[in-house]
Amino acid sequence: MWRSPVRRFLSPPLHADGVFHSTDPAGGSGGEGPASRVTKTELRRELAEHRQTEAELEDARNFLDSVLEHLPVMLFVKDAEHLRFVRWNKTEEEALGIDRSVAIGKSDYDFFPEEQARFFEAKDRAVLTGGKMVDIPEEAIQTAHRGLRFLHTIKVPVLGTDGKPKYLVGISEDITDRKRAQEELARAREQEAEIGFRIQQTLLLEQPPQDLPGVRAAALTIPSQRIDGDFYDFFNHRDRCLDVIVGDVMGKGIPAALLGAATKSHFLQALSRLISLSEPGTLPEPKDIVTLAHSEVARQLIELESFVTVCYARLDLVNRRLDLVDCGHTTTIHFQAGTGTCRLLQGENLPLGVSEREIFEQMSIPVEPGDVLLFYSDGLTETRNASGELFGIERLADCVGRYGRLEPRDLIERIRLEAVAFAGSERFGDDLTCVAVRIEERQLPQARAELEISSDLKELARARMFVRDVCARLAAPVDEDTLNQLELAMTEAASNVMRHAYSGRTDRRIQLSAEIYEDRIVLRLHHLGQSFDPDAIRPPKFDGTEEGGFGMYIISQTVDEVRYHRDERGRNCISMIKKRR
Amino acid sequence: MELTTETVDDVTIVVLPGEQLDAGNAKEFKRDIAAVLEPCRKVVFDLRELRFVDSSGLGAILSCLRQLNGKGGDLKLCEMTKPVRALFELVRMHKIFDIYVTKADALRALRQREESGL
Repeated sequence: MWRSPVRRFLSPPLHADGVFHSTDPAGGSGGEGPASRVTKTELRRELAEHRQTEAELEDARNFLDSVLEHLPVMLFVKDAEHLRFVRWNKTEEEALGIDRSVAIGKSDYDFFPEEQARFFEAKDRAVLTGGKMVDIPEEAIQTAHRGLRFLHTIKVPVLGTDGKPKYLVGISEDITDRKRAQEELARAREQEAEIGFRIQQTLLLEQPPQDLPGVRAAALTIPSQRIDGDFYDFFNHRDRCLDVIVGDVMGKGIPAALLGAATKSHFLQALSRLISLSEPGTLPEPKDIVTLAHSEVARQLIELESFVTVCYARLDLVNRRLDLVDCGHTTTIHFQAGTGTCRLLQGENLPLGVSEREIFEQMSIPVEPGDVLLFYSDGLTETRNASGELFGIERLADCVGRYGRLEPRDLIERIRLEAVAFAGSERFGDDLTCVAVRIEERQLPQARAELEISSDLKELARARMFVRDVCARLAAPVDEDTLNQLELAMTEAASNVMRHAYSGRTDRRIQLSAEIYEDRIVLRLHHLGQSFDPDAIRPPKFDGTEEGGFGMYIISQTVDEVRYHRDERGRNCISMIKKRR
Repeated sequence: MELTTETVDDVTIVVLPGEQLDAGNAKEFKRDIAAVLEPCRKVVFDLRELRFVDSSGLGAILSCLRQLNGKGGDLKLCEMTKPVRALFELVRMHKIFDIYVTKADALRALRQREESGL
């Protein structure tokens, strides 16, 4: 019964008090003829009918008024000509803090900053000219009592009987809180990614040892938006064995990262406990380390409904053997230098956290100098190209076969480039981790020496003397040019440590070591000062306009290789390697 | 640092003392040589004693060149030992400095320069 007034709501004028007034009674069609022609009875009847209709209309209007008034959204009506408010509901009053008695008859310019008012007016005009509803997903509005708010607004033109716009109806919803919540959520996600990334960098991924006799190792990590809990670690056993442990936790995000960190620490604990129980000079077997670590984490993993794939590899550099315990991890790739081919190593063990009673089997494979072992997370092999194809183990093994003779870090860079080319993107859906370890010819040094000096520049002469002395111990002497270059490299490196790493303090310690092999001389400086970023050093000027900045350049020109890394005791180490001619 | 000088005509010859000029003594050298160079315009550094120079030592010698060039003076190096020569070549400073084999060569070069009116 209130349908008809609703339709009419769109045409009858509204009055400044915002309440509908009837000037054109709905039942007026019968009131055309002169009253004289109508009988009194008829007139009375018509009048009664008219009153009846009026009353019904009044009810309908009140009903409509009440509905509009209590709508939980903001509602206003403006006249089309001057864009002045003619209606203003309760929610609008509350939301904007403007009473209807103030608003009615005024325009946006009376309440809002000019820029905003102009924006509203432009939208209003567009709606009226276009004759169609316009949806404004977000508009800013400066309120007197609640600061800046954001509204989602719909504006509808209301046409008069002449077909011209008569009114403009606006319905707005305050989306400020929702918008803030969304922003908050986005920030929280970003923060989570950041925390995950930090966990990954600090707890999960160790830098491979840089300066181990008998092996060369390199690692690559490309983090994705949400971390995976991939981890790896290296344990060096007195330069005789290198343990490499790589793992991957099921799941993503901070829970996976924490589980990865916990699993890793259980391995460390298991290793150190078993070492302390071992006979001196013997090492616990990888399968025993895995068994002990597993007994610590299995229950928790099962309770958390998670599992961890792990590959525990021990490279025995003395006996040239690889002992491997593969617990459901990705297939290890073994590049054999002798044939230039790749062999795939896969064990039968279940991942950690699947069965509490798992008995771990270990396999042993002979390795030769030049052989490379490649460990990686499934993020690498499960990288997909545009047509959904997987990168896969064949492609990876093929790549290792082609570039297996490169330095491990160059091999890894080749793998990265191939994966990027395949995926067509620098970014990957999953974390991508990859560790390459190459077995080197194991040599014993012909001479070695160590010396501790203080960080006083006056000690530089002693550092040079140290180099000269160790070289003098050889049966076949080092030529004078090489000796001069080694002295220069040692002086520049030590001087950098004293002046920069120790900021000029003279009471700190620097440990020097020298090892001379058949084919190379290795000089090392260990210190506890600030670490260097060699990439941050710009090349020197050779035109005589600057007196400094030659140190790093001199080092790079006098030795064949310089490496900056952390040694096993956590000291910063500069290793300089010069080939012997 | 004790710096002994010898004057031939208007040329000051300084024999750089000690076997090494490195970060350990470069500052001291720089300070003391600046005072020596103060009244001079034409200078020869005799490097026969030096067996070792590092980048700081080189920087100190470079500062002498700049000090003299700054006031229209001249610095020649001579009697360089092999390892010192190697360092100069390594950082291409043999192209910046005028280096002569003997002291006599260095003195002759300074004199010729004068005669040719340069």
